[in-house]
Amino acid sequence: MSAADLSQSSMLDLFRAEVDSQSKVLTEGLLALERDPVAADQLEGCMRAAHSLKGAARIVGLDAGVRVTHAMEDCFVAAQQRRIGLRQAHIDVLLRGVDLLHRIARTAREGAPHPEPQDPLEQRAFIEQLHQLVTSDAAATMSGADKSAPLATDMFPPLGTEALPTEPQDEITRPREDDTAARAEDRVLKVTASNLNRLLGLAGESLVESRGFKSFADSLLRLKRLQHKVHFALDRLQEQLAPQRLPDSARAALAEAQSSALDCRRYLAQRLVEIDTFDHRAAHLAHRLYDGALACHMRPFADGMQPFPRMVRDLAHALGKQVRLEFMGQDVQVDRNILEKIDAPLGHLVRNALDHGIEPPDERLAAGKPAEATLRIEARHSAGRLQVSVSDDGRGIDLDRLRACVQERGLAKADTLARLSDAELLEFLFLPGFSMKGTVTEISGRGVGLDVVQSVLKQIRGTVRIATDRGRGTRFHLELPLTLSVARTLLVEVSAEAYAIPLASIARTVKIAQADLEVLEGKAHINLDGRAVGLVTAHQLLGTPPPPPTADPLSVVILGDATHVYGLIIDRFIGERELVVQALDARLGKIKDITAGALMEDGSPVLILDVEDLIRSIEKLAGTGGMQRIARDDSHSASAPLRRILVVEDSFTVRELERKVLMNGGYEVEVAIDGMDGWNAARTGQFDLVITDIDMPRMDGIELVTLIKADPHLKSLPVMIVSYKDRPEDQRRGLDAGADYYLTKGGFHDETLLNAVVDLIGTSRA
Amino acid sequence: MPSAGGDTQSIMVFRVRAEWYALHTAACLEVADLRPIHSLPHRRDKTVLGVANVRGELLVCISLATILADPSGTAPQASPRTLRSAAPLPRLLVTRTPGGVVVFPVDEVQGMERYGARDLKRVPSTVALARAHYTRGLVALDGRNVGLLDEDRLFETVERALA
Repeated sequence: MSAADLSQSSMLDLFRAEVDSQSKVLTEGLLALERDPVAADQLEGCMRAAHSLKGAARIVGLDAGVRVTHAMEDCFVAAQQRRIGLRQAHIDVLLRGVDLLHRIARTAREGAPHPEPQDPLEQRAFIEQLHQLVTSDAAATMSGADKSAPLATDMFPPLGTEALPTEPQDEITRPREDDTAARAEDRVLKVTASNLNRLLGLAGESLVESRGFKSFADSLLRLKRLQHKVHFALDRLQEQLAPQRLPDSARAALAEAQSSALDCRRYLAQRLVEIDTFDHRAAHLAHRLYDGALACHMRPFADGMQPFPRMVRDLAHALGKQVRLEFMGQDVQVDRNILEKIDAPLGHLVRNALDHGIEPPDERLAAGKPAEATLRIEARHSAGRLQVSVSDDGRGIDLDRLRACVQERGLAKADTLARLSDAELLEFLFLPGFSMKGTVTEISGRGVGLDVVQSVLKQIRGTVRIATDRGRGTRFHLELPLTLSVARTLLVEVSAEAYAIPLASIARTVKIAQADLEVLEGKAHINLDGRAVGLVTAHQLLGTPPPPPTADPLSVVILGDATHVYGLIIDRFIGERELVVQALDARLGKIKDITAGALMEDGSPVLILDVEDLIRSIEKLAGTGGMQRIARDDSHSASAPLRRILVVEDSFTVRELERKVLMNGGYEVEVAIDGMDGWNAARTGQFDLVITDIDMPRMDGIELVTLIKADPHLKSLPVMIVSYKDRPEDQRRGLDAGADYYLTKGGFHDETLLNAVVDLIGTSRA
Repeated sequence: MPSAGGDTQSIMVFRVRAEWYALHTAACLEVADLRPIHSLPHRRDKTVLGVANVRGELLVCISLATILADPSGTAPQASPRTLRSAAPLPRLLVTRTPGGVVVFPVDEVQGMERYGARDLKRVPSTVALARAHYTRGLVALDGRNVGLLDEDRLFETVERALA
C-alpha cells in the first residue's frame, strides 16, 4: 500500500507543491517590496524562494522553469546590490513571472522529457522584459556614481547556465524566509484530505473501542457477585458443620476452600480497580486523540487570505485607485471547509469594494480623506460563531437612491419603504438580479451577485449583513458556524435504521395522538398553533420499507421555515447527538435527501438528512396528490384489523361524503383523487375494497377497474362503481370491465352505500 | 495480475451463499468483522447494500450475491461444509478497486491460498452465465472448485452500480 501511495505523488507533483508554497512567499515578498523597495529581509526571502524553485525545476528537468526563476533571481541580486531600485514596473513583471511558473508547473507532463514549454513566446518576452528593466536601470545607476560595479553584461550570463551567488545548501529545504522557531511550531503542513479523514476515522474508532472496557468491567461485576455467593455458601457450610464432629482433614479442606475464595475476591477486587483506571485512561486518551484529529480540520484564517493581497494590488492598479489591504485576526482558527467555501464570496466582496465602494484618489482628497483607501478583512470568534467582515472607507451606499431604485422596480411601495429601517432596506441588495445599474451611475452594479454571496453563506448555515455610512464606508459582516465537521442533530429511527436531522432545521418536535389527525383530501394534517401542518411519513419520502403498524402517539418532527411547514412522521425519537460529519463515497454522487454520513457512539452508521431536499420532495408529493395516507389505527379496538376501503373520486364533496359514511360504518378509508392516483394507491395499500367513480381526469374508473382485474395480485380485490351514469349500458360497461357492483349516485344515500359494502366485504372488522 | 509463468499467486478464498470464490490478495485490503450496514434511500438496485463502518470510515458495501446471481434464481444449496472453522462467520472483505475502496460482505472467509497459473481450469459451460462472466477460471482447493473472480470485470460492474 505504501508503495502505491508513494508512486501516486511523483516528482512532478512534489514540484507543483513547491511552486505552490514558494510562489506564496514570492507574492508576499514582492507586494512588501512594492511598499518598501529596499526591505532586505523581503529581498532575501524572494531570492531564496526563486533559488529553491530553480533547483527544483532543474531536478524535474523543466528548463523553462529554470530560465524563468533564473531571470527572477538576477533581478533580485541586482536589487540586493543596489544596482537597481525595484519599482512598480519591476514588481508587475516579477508577479507575472510567478504566474508563469504556475502555468509551467501545471502544464508539465509526467514521464516524457519536457522539450519545450507550451508558451515559449511568453517566457521569452518575460525574460527579455525583466532583463531589459534590470540592465537599463543598472546602466543608469552605473553612469551615475558607482563606477566600481561590474558591467551589466557580465552580470547576466547566457540564460540557463549556472551563475549563482554562493549560498548555503540547506537553505533550499527551508520553505519560508522567516522560519523562526515560533513560526515552525505553527507551520501549516500539507496533508491530503483522505489521510486526514482516515486519521479521524481511526481516532473515532478508538473512541468506540475504548467504550468496550466499561461494559467488560461491568461484566466482571457479575463475576464478583458469583464469587461472593461462593464465599457465602462456604460460610454457611461451616456454620452447619460446626456442631458436628468432623475429621481434622475435612476441617482443613473447608478452611482452605474458604481462604481460597477470599483470595479470589481480593484478587478480583484489585483487578476491577485496575481495569477501572485503565478504562478511564484509555477513554481519556481516545477523547484527546479524537479532539486532536478534529482540530486538524482547523487552519489559521490567514491561509485563506493568500490570494487577496495580489488581487487587491492588481485590481487597484487597473482601476487607478490606491488601496491598502489590512488583515485582522490572521491567527483565528477556521474550519478548512469553511475557509474554502468563503473564498469566492470574500473575493466577490473585495472586488465589489474596490470597484464600487472605494473612490479614485482625487475624489477622496476632495472629500477630505487620504488618497489611499483602506480595505480591511477581519476575522474573530464570538459567541461560538466565526465573524468575518470586509469593510472599506469608501463612499458608502446611497440609501435614498437605493430606496428610489427599489420603488422604481416595483419591489415595494413608497410608504412601505419609508417605514423600513436601513438594515431592512439594504436587504434588497441580496435579491437575485437586483442591481442599481442605470439608476445610480456612480455605484452602478452594486448588488449584482450579492445574491450569490448570500446563497453560498446559506449553504454553510451562515448569514451576511450590510452596514453603510454615507461618505464613510461600507461594511459586510459575515457570520458563520465555527465548523462544518460537527453537526448537532436529532437522531431518529426510520424503518429500523438511524437518521439524523440537523437541529438547525427543526422547528420543534411533537407527539400526536392518532385521534388528533385531521384528514383532508386524503392527506393528514395536524393543527399546530392554529395552523394546519401537513404530515408525511419519512419512510415514504425516503423510499424505505414501511415500518410495523404506526405507533400511537405518532412522533413528528416539524420542519420548514416561516412559509412552509411540514410534519415528518418518524418511527421513533432516539435523542440529541453531536455527530462528526463524514462525506459519503463520492462515487455515489449526491444522494437525494441525504447530505452526509456519520457514526454513532457505538460505531454504527447513521445518515444525515438533507432537509432542503426533503422539503422539496414533500412539496412535490403534495403537488401531485401522491401523499400517502397515514394509517390510522383504532388503538382502542381489538386485534382484528379494520377492513380497508379505497375511495377513488375526483369530486371533493362526494369523496368526503363517501369517506364519512364509510368511516361511520367503522371502516378504514383512504382516498385517491383520480384513477391514476387510485391505481398507485391500490397497488401499495392492501385494501379490501375499491370504490370508484367513472368520470375522472388522467384515468377513468373503467380503466382503473380493467387494470385492477388484469393484475395478478389485485384481481380478487372487489371493486364497486359509484356513478351518476344510471343508463343500463353504462352499468353493463362497468360490470363488463370487471366491477363487482354498480351503484348509481341517484340512489345514493348512507344505507345503500353501506349495505352494498357489507354485502361485498362484510362488516368493518374481519 | 496473474503471470503466465509457473509462479504461484496469492488469493483470498471466501464463500458467498453456497459458492466459493477467490480474489487476488493484492486487491484485498483487509478482512473485517461484519458490522451493521446502513441502507441508502432511493436505491432501486440491490447491488449497493449501503454503507458500513470499517475502521471509522463509512465504506460502500456491494452485494456479490446480487452481481453473481444465478439468473435462474434458485435458492442457495444446502449449507456447504467448511474447511477449518466449525461456525462460519460472515465477514466484510475490504477491497481496493481502481475507483476507490469497496466492501463485499461475504458469508465466510477461508483465508489466503496459493495457486499456480497451470492449476487454473476453464469454467465449465454448465456454470450460469452471470457467474461465468465474472470468473477467470476455477482453482481446485481441498477438492473444492473455487471460482477465481476477474477483478477487472467485477470492479467495472461495481463502478457502474455505484454511479
